[in-house]
Amino acid sequence: MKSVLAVIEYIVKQNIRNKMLNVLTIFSIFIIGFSLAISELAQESEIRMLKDFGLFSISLLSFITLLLSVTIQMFEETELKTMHIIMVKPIKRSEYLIGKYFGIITTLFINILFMFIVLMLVINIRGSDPWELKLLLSVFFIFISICIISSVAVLFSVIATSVPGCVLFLFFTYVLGHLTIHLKKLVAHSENTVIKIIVDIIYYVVPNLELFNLKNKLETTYGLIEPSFFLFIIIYAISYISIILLISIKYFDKKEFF
Amino acid sequence: MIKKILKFTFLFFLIIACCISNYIATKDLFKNQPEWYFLRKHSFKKFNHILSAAMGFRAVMADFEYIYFLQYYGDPANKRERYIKLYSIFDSITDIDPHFIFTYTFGSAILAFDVKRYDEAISLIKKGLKYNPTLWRLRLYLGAIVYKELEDKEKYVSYLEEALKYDDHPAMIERILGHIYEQYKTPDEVVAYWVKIYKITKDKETRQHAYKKIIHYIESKKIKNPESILEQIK
Amino acid sequence: MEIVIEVKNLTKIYKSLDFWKKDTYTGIKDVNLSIYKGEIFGLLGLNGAGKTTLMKTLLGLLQPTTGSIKILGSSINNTEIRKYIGYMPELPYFPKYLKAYEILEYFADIFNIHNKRQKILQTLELVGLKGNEYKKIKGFSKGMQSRLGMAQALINDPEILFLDEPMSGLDPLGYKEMRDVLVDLNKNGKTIFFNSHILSEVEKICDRVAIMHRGHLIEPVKVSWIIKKFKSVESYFIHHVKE
Repeated sequence: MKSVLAVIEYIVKQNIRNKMLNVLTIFSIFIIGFSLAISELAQESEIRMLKDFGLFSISLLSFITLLLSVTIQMFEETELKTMHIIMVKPIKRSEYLIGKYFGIITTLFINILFMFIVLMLVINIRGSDPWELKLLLSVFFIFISICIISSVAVLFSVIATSVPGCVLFLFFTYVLGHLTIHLKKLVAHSENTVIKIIVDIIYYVVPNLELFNLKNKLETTYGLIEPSFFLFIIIYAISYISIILLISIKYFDKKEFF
Repeated sequence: MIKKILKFTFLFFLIIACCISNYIATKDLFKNQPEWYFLRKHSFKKFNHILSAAMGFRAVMADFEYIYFLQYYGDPANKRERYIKLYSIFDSITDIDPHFIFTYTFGSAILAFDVKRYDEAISLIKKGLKYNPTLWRLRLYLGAIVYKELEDKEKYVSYLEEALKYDDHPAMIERILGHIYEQYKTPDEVVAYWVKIYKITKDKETRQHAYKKIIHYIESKKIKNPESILEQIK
Repeated sequence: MEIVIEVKNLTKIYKSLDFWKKDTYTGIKDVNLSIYKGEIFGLLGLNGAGKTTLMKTLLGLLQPTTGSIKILGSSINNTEIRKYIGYMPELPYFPKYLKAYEILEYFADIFNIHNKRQKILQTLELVGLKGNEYKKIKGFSKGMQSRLGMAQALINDPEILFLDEPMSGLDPLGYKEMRDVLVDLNKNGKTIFFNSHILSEVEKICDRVAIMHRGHLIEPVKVSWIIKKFKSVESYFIHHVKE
C-alpha cells in the first residue's frame, strides 16, 4: 500500500512539475476569458454560452492533459528506460500500474478542479449562480469519463510499442466513445445484421462516454438527473475501469523490458 | 487452480456487470432522451455536426452556429433578401442542440415579427415544443404569434390553457388568461376560473389579484350564486 | 563459499517485435554461472555479445526462455528478494523537473525505509552528490546523473549490486571515485556484478571476470590467474574474442 502511495505521489509530482501542465492551466484561463468575450457578443444567452464553453474547455483540456501525461510517461518509460529501475525494486507490477493509474487521475482531478473553480468564479462575476446542481454534476461526470479514458490510456501504454500509436488509439477511443450511441440509434432500424453486430461490438468494447456527457444537457427539460441512471452509470464506470485495469495488469505482468 | 477459477469468475462477473449497466443506462438514455437527442440521419452529412458529436461538445457547436446567426442577422446586406437563410440556420442550430430555447423564442420572434414569415416561425416553435414539451414559454410564444399576427384568438387561448397545465408555468399566464376570458366568457365562468386560480396559484400577488376580482364580481351582482363562491374562498 | 547468484542452462531467445514476422534471435545460450558472496564479478564482452541480456534476465526484466536463475536462493520474481538488490542501468535517466532528493525519496518509500531523510542524505554523500539534494535533475551533468543512478541503487543497502556499464558517462576523476565507492562497498561485504567495456578498470577492481561472446559465456576465471598467464585482462580478452 505504501509503495502504491509512493508511485501516486511520484506521478503527480512529475506531472505537475512538467511545464506542459502549467501551460494548460494558463490556457484554460485564456479560453474562459475568450468565452467571456464571445458571451459579450451573444448578449442574452451569455450565461449559457459561458457554461458551454467552460465545460467544453474543461473536458477537452483534461483529455489533452491526459494525452500529454501519458505521452511523457510512456516516453520516459520506454525510450529513456526509467521503468527498468523501478521494476527491480520490491514493488509488484500490479501495484506500480495501479499507482500509476491513480497518479494520473489525481493529476486530472487537480487540473479539473482548478479549471472548474475558475469557471465558477467567472459565472459568479457575470451574475449567475455557480452552485447549480446540473453544472456540478456535469463536471463530476466529466471527471468520471476522464477516469475511464485514463484506464484505457494505461492499457494502451502497456500494450503499445510506440508513443504516437498510443496517442492515436486513445483519440479514436475518445471519438468512438462519443459516437457509438448515435451509431447504435442509426442502425437500430437497419436490416443489415453485419453492421448491427459491428456496432454492437464497438458499443460494448469501447467505453460508452456519451453516457457521462451531461454538459450537452444543461438545459434539458427531461428528467435526466435520475438516481437510478446515475447508479447504473457509476456501476458501469467502476466495472469498466476494473476490467481494463485487470487486463492491463495481466499484460504488464508478462511484459519484458528490452 | 481454485485461485484461477475465482479470478475468472470475478472477471466474468465484472464483464456481466459492465455490459448490463451499459445496456440499462443506454436504455434509460433512450427513454429519457427522445429521438432528437441522437444525431439524425441528415446530420451525418454535416461535418460540424459529426465532429461535435464525436468530441462530445454539441452545445458549444450550437453556440458557434448561434454566433454565426447573430452575424448573419446583423449584416444589413442580408436584409435585402429578407434574411432568406434564417430558417435553415435556426433548423441547424436546433438540430445540433435541441435544448437551445433561446433560438426558438428569439428566432420565431424574428421570423414572425421582423421578416413576417409566420409559417416558418410556427414551424420553428413547434419543433421546439416537440423536443421540449414542458416549456411553457414556447407555448406562450406560439400563442402570441398565432393570436397577434393571424388574429386567431381561439388558438392563442388553447395554447395558454395548455401552458397552465404544467407545474412550472409562470403566474403571469394565470392573469393573462383571466383577462382574455373576461372579454368573451360569462361572469360565472370567469369567477369560477378566478376561484380556481385563487386555490392553486403559488404566487401571492396573483392570489390577491384573483381575490379582488372575485370580490369585484360579487359586488357587481352579476353572478348567480355568490354565497357558495364566498364559501369556497374562505 | 556461499553462492548468491546461481544460473543454470540459461537461454534467452528474442521473438521478433514485428507482428507479421516470426523471426527469432538468440540473445544468450546455455549460460551456467555462479557468483559467490562478497566478490566483485566483471562481465566483459563486445557490443551485442549478450551482456545486457544476461543482466536483464537475472533481474527479471526479461523472462528466460529456458533454464533457471536463483538469487539468494530464490526467484527474482519474489518481491521480497528484491529488497536485497540494487541495480544501476547504463546512463540512467530521471525526470528532469524532479529534485535529486525527491527521486531518492520515491525509492526509499518503495523500500519502506524508516528514517529515510538521514538515509537519503547519507547515500547522496556516499556517491558525491552532497549539496545537490534540492537541485533539479535538469541542471545535472551526465556524470551527476550516473551518480544519482548509483545512489538509487544503494538506497536500500543491497546485498547484491548489479551495475550496467557503471563507468559510462564519467570522466577520469569519476572513474576513480566510482572505483573507490565499489571497493568500499565490497569491503562491507557487498557482492557486485557488473558489465564493462573498460578493461583497465575491470582489472583494477574485479576478483573474477567472465567473457560473453556471441551469446556464450566463457568460463569465469580469477583476475590474479589472468595476470599470471596473460599479463593483462586486455590480452586475455582479445585472445578469446579473436578466436
